[in-house]
Amino acid sequence: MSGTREGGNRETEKKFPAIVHKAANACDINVSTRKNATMTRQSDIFSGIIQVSRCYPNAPVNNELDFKVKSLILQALAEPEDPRRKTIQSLLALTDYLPKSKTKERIDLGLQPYYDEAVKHTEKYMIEHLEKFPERYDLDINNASASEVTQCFVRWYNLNIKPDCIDVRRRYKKIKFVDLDAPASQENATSKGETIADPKPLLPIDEVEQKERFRQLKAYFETDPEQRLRNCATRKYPSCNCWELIKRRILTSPPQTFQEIKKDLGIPLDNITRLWYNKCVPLLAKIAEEIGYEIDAKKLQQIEEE
Amino acid sequence: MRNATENCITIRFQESDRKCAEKFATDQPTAEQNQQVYRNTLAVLAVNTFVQELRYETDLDAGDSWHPVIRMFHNVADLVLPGIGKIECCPVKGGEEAIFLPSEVRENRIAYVAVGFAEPFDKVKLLGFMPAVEIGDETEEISLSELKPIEELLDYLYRIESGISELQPEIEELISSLDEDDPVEKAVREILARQSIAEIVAKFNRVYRSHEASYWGYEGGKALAGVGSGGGSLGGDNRGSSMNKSLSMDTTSNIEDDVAADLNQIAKDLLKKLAEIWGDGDG
Repeated sequence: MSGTREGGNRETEKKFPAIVHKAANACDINVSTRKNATMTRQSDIFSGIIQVSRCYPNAPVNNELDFKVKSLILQALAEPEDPRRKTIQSLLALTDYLPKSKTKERIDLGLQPYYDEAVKHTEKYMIEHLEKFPERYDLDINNASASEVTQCFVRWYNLNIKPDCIDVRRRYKKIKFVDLDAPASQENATSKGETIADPKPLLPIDEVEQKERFRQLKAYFETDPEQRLRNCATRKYPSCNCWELIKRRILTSPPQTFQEIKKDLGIPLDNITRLWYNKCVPLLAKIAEEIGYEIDAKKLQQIEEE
Repeated sequence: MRNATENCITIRFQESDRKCAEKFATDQPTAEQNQQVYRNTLAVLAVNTFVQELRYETDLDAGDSWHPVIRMFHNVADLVLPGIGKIECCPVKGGEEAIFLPSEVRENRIAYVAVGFAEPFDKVKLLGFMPAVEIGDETEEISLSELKPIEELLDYLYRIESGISELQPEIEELISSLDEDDPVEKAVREILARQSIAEIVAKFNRVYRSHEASYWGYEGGKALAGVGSGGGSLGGDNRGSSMNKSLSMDTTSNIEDDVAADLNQIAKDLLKKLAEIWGDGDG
């Protein structure tokens, strides 16, 4: 382990000039990293001296670096998309110096090959969704300390760069991924300004009516008056039918697990779970609709397709 | 308000979330269930937002919490991540110090996420999570102080996801190659086949995070056999399992030893593969 850490030191030393140039570019400062010039000129990046140890996780945070991070975030929040891009790029260029940030060297080994492509997605996401940053950490960004803002920014950066690396990996491995630009459900897409003022958790309901309707539904499941539930069974195992499963999984409290049902009925687990998810669950919705519940069309479509 | 640097993530509700929760709550037969379903729905929607921001696909409709009948009978707040598993989103009211797990949510879950509610109910805080394999089958509550930081959920999901894609072909091939007529191979085959790949990966993740590489064979073999605490509640066919149950009455201790040795070797080999993709850059 110590060998790895020493190896890491040598590696970081080799990369140090590149890191200094990257940060200097982010701050529009020219530096020289020629031999003997590095330690003097790097101080131009910030008025304080950035230590080489900045590159290691858990190193103490440089106050001036924190102020730089905070001011760049405030600047970006006030900017429209085009100038914001440059500010975010400057911000991302500082991540090498921020303790605990998941840089290319610090991210999981299996994700490192995808880092360079992923960071472009992270940049795009941050440009488009920077407003989510203070929201996620409940941060009053103007009044919070620079150190607090930087710590939260590192957390937010890590929560984006790693998912983006995973997502790029999925593409290469041809695993289905989620496109954040096209959320699956528009209803659930987040946007600023839609905050609920004060929703009340307790809703007025007609308890008498609801109780009566629930009683009817429960009675239907208990008695199976039309024998629809018991006739809905696997061909090979007639004893494994929807009525049997509903009694065990819906009407019993606590419900039996599929394992317990398997042991009781002596039927393979696959047959039980297939019957439950493919037949019983849609049938439950269908019966509820017939009794008077308003059921989402998608749930009913499932049974029509059966 | 919690300090911003604490390990929480805040999710602000939208009007559409509230409407959805109200709609689901309206059908409940009692005022108590009405509130329960309202909170459960908002908890699922909050975790859904967070998990989608982690670039994971979710399927709200596939959850029991989204089923109009099942949520009337059971206290469920599950969120399905296709190909990975179910997360249970556990509402935590102000002043509560633990998440409570009704028996109906202890089966077939990969993790429990604590969702903190506080007035004026315009937002929630995701307080942390617990992998399902780290609690026993009978666990009824988890103290908030025991939870892992919510941001580590990403690492956990990634390990499950990448582990499934890495091990699925290996384990399927292994199972099909084991000889039904050999008592040792038959027992090993039964032990592997009764667990989902996600469950095996989650168990290995626990071994990987808790033990040095020299113990991976022994600890991984025990985890595969279902020996020890926290056998897991991810589903599959593992509940209350032990090697003895899968072997015939006249099984000798030699066969048991051979099965254990085989499982140790399998665990060691598979964990080595997982280490290649799970290793941290920090070393």
